[in-house]
Amino acid sequence: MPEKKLIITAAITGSRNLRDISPYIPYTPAEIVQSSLECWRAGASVVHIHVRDPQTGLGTQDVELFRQVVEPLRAQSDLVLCLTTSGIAGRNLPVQERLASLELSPELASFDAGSINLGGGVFSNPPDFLDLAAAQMLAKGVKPEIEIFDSGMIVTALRMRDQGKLQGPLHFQFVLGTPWGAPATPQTLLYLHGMLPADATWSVIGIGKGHLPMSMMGLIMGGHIRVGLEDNVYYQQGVLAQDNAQFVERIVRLSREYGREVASPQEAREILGLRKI
Amino acid sequence: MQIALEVAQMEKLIITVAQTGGIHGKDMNPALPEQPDEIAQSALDCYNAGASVCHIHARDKKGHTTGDLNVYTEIISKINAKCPIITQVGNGIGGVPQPDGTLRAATLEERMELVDIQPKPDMLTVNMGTFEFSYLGTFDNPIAWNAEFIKRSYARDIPIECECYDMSHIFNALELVRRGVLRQPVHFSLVLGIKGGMPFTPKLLSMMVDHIPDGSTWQVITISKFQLPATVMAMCQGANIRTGLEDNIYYAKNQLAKSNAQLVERMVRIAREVGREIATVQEAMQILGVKRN
Repeated sequence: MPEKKLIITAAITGSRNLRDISPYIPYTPAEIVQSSLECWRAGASVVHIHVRDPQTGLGTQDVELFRQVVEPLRAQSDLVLCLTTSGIAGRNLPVQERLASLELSPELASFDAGSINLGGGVFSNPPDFLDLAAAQMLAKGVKPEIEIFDSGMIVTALRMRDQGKLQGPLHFQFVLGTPWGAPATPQTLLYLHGMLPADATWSVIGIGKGHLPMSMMGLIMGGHIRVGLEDNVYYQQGVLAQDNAQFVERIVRLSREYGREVASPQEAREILGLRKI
Repeated sequence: MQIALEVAQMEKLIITVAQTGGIHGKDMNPALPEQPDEIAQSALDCYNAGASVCHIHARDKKGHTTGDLNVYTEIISKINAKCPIITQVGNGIGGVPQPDGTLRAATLEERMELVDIQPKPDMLTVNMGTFEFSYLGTFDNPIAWNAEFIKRSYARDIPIECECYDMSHIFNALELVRRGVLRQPVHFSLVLGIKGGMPFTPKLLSMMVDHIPDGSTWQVITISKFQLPATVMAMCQGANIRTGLEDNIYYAKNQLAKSNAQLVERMVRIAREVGREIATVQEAMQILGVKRN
């Protein structure tokens, strides 16, 4: 029921899809900044940031490229920045490279709570990596956005909370419909949601065609929603989205029709319990 | 039941509008149409807004719920004269006021008469189980009586919508299929949120949907504050929806709906955003098996 305001996260670019899939995917820091600001103006309160090699478009964890995105966004907006620590899913960069984005002390950072097959490869997040990532985030006051691709990852996160490695209230991002991950169905989401602690906050991503059904489940269940070209390049069947803001605008319209207000970045900080900056 | 993921590949969306109902009246919302002319005009407005089915209850001149076949005749004739929307009569009739002001449930005898309404309604609904309707009283729907109602409806070529207010009601419908009474595909209405029946939560709706056999159609009916969440969830699963002042007199919290059409218009806007095209009356007739002769 619509009591809580809705946090819309825009995942601007990711690191998997290249411009052969969609010519509208932002590559350069300037493109990522511009697209993020458009999403902010459209109603997004959080942006999830990957960076890419500006020439090749390949994902990278180069902290200088992150800096070229983070500094302008901090100067020009009050967006909550969620920086990736997944690096290039399936290509498994060295651990220290993956955590390089934490140097910029984002308010949120992704935390992939386990390993899983992803497309043709393995997205590797072994226990020692999770321990290191959790320790660095705790030390820097970065709130982990715990990405859940299947139920065992929730078990992992709750165990780490019980061990004091993660601090509650936890914030989860369900990633449903990845190739060979948990499917983007209402039953899956309802089951996973039933495993969360009562004080948890959560958001949902439906990959590809799961985008709208999962977004709407997030809307009606009091969760939050992530959209963007990282997760879904089509706006509707057969029609490529021309920018990230288009996805944000649609969710804002649906949320208004539904009667749930959209959270500002400041309200998102309160809902998620982010550190004061 | 397979869950359709690709929004754009889903069946077209049938929007039913339940305009009047058999319980509350203009005292709750003055926009609620009670008299045949009002009901027909509102049906036309909803048809123009995108509704393809109009669910009908009848009121007497004082606005009291009635099973008087003459009133149904007047309502259906007037709707048919204005637009081709599918007419559907609910076989519960509703709560009939008594001299002391209390409501009594319509009797099974009164309700059975609805199979003979002239002109023929396009559809009739059957309630698939007995339960305490909104704690107002026992809503009696014996299985043998339901079977008789369905046989007599089919004898006039009137298809049936099965209203399921709780889990067992789905299985009662399937039992009537097994007995050769109810035809497939079954058109299920999952009714959640009425006290005495299944409450609405996303999990409970999902559980009911899991028990509907493949090939069936289903829509969701919920009341008041549950209408938007349940409807949005159903739309994204390829199901159909119902709205209207019978189910919900409010447009938003503390804001009465101005008309049935206002509620339909919102559903159409949401459907377009999530990629569901709206079924025309012709398309809805084909999906629901409505025959006109």
